[in-house]
Amino acid sequence: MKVHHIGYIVDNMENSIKEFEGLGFKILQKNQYDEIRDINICFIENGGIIIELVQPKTKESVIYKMAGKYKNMPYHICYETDDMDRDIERLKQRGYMVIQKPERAPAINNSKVVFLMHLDMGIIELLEKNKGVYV
Amino acid sequence: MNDKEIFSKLLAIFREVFDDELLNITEEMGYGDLEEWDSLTHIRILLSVEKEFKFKFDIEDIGKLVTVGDIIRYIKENVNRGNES
Repeated sequence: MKVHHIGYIVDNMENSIKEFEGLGFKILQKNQYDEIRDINICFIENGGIIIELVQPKTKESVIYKMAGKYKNMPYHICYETDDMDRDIERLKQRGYMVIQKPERAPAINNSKVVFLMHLDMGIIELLEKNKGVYV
Repeated sequence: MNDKEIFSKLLAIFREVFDDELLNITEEMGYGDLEEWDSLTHIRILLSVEKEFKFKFDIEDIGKLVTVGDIIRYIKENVNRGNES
C-alpha cells in the first residue's frame, strides 16, 4: 500500500512548524481544525515526504492523553486504499483492530479515513484514494 | 477453558502490557484505575486478548468493556465459539 503521510503529534504547532522549516520542510496546507477529532492539523513536505502535524485542541481530543505523555513524536503512518472495506477486512485478518470507525477527514478534503492498531505495528490510518488533496 | 485458566492468561496479558511482573488485577478494576491504562493501552490489552484467546472483538462491543470483569465475561462468551467476526 502506498504511503500517503506520516502522522506526527506535536505539543506546540507554531513552534514545531518553525523547527520543521529549519530542517527544510515547506507548508503544504496551513493549520486547519478537525472538529470530528478535536485536533489542529498542518501538512508539511520535504523531498516528497508528507508529514501531518497534529495537535489536540482540548481535553476532548482523542489524542489528548498521548500528546501529554509523549509531547512530540511520529505516531501513525497513513496508507492509501482504493477499497476501504476490503482492506479493513484484510487487515483485521492480519490482527489489526479498528480503533476509530471510518469517518471523513476535514483536513483531507473530507476523504474517508479509518484508524487501526496492531500489536506489532502500532497505529495506522487508511485514506480513501483519489479524494485527498495530495493523492 | 475454565475460569482459572482464563484469569491466569488475562493476568499474564496485563503484566506484559503494563510491563509489571508483580501487577495484580481484580474483576472490579477498570479502565483508568491504573495510571497507564489509557485508551491506547486498552486497545493493546484487547488485541493481546484476541491473539491469546483466538477470537475477534466486535467493534460495537469494545466501548462496553471497561472493567477486567467485563473482559473476562466477553472471553467466556467467545473463547469456545471460534468467533471470526
